[in-house]
Amino acid sequence: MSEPEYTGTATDFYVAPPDVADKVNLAVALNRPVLIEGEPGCGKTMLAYSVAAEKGLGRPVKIAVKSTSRAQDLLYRVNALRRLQDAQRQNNERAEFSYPYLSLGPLGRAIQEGRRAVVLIDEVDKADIDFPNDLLDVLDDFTFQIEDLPEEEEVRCLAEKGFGRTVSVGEGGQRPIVFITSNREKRLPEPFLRRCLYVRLRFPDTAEELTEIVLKNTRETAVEINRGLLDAAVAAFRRVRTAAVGTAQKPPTTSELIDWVKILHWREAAPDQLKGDTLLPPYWELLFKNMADLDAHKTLAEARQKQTAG
Amino acid sequence: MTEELALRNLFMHLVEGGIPLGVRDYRDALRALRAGYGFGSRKRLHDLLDTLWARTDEESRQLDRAFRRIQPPTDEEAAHELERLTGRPRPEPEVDAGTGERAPDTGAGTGDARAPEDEPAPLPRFESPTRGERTDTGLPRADARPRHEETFILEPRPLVPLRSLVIIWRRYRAAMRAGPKIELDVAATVAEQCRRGYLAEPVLVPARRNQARLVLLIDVSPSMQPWEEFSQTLVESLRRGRLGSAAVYYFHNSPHERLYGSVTLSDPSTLKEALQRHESSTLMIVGDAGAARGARNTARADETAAFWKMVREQWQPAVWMNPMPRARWAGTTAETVSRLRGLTMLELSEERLVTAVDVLRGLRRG
Repeated sequence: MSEPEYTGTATDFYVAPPDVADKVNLAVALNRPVLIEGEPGCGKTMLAYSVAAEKGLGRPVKIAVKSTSRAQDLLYRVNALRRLQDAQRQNNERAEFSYPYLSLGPLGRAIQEGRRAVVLIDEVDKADIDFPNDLLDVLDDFTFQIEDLPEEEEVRCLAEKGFGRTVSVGEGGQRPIVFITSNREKRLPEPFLRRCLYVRLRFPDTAEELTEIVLKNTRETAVEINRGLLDAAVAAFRRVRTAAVGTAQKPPTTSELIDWVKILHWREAAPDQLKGDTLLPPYWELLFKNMADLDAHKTLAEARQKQTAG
Repeated sequence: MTEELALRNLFMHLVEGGIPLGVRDYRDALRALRAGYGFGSRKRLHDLLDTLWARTDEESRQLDRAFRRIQPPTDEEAAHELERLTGRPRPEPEVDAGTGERAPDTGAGTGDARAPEDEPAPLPRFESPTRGERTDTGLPRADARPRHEETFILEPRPLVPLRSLVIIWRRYRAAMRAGPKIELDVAATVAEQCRRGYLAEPVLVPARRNQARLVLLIDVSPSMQPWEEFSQTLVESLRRGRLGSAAVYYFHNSPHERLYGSVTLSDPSTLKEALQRHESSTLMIVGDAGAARGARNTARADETAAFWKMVREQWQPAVWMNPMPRARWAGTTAETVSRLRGLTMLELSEERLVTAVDVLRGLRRG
């Protein structure tokens, strides 16, 4: 199973820094999940997608975690309500068994299929504190038990649905590569942190990186952006972001930058309007997402202006 | 077997330093080395171990310090180790070693002189600084023996270790149903079915979970300096204690209308805000209440009394953990504060913290 190493540069939508690519390779070699943290908009999800794309594994199995998610839901579900309703109908023999009401969840299916795949568990910190801990065992050996499947139905279930009480990757099968992202809304439990390899993504803040990101993200929408405008916009964005980091609740990120550049383009803003050292370029309001940050930035920008004027 | 011991001393050093590493972490490091990771330069080995073993900045620093004590092996030793470990010939050193020169040997344990990062050192020897008498490992022995006939080892030790604190917090439980409705309420479901004659939907209720709420106020004035580290451990333990909610604020000398979100007394919030945010919580205060200074300061006592009056409706039961021994309270502000009604002052120790949790749960008074 000699799989090509992940380089982080082979896809046309994402570039991973070399140290991040190294950690991904290490995690794959050790069969450990990768925990990705970083500001919103620094490309946590894209990292998983680019690994899948580079390794030719198809689209990742993406699991969006909700506050009500339970670890078991990722493995399998029992439609008990349906069974209860079926059971009340006369002559319904199906409801005598539990297995027709069992189905594998996204992670469960990836394990059962046993082919190399990328599984992305997105925003794990949204879920209850028990969620990551419950997941830990499964991520260790990619085996789980379906307690809700009675032993006497195992043979039938295996024949009809392809899985028994114990679901595992099986011989010759390959384990999925697991990526988990977190926005640090909650602190993750210690054993979980220990088990994962930790990748902290830095916000891409050099002009080249930002330009690259805007270009890659506007290509699909066939927006042809004037290079002069783009360079000026990126420079202005970096000024605004630098001023906002540390004070703003949500400093502007790449997604705001992309929207902003599109607007500048559609409204035909001239690169000259963005020049100089102004912290209030045209449509700058788009870069912030809440009232307090808007006000704070405006006050700051005006104070700076006065300073330079006086 | 010998090669498996290569990183052992370093590993044991970190474990003894309190990093909760397991055998699996050790084996993973060996597997990674066998797969060719961490070779080529000292920095790469360091980065590999950092990725595998460190999870917090403090742990990274600990690893750094331990790593700096490693004496780089000679080129032959390195080549030999590498061959033994992987069965592969040694890869060319990285670009920066192009001059073929090696930085002067920094020697073991020379303190902060950090070895240059480009030294080719695939598998360095590690000298355990304190554990001198472990010759049974078959490892090359450390050259430097302890300088004196050391019969004891002085190591900083927390007042109450983190693990014990976490366990103490686990006692603090007030289970109530909250959160997503995931449990079947059998009685209600049956009742519903009887009422309607058929079952439309089972009745679900939220699971029980810990709803214990705590506000922790910590004194960070100079007199509390000796317990600064402990205070941080206490805060850390609270995060792992699985309380329903826990908030930490800091204050200077005596708590009053302004509380701070950080040790450095930045991130201020008013008492009113804090009261609003943490309605009907319990309260724990950690401070010496003037006992360390050893004098009675009426103004300070009055200030504390006024504070207690403002919060006692919202935040109770309340305990005050005083790191000074009880015998030292007499004749100081602490004595006055300990007499405030409804505020229990206890000596800060492992046993008394258990008592404190019982007080917070309303099981006993002081």
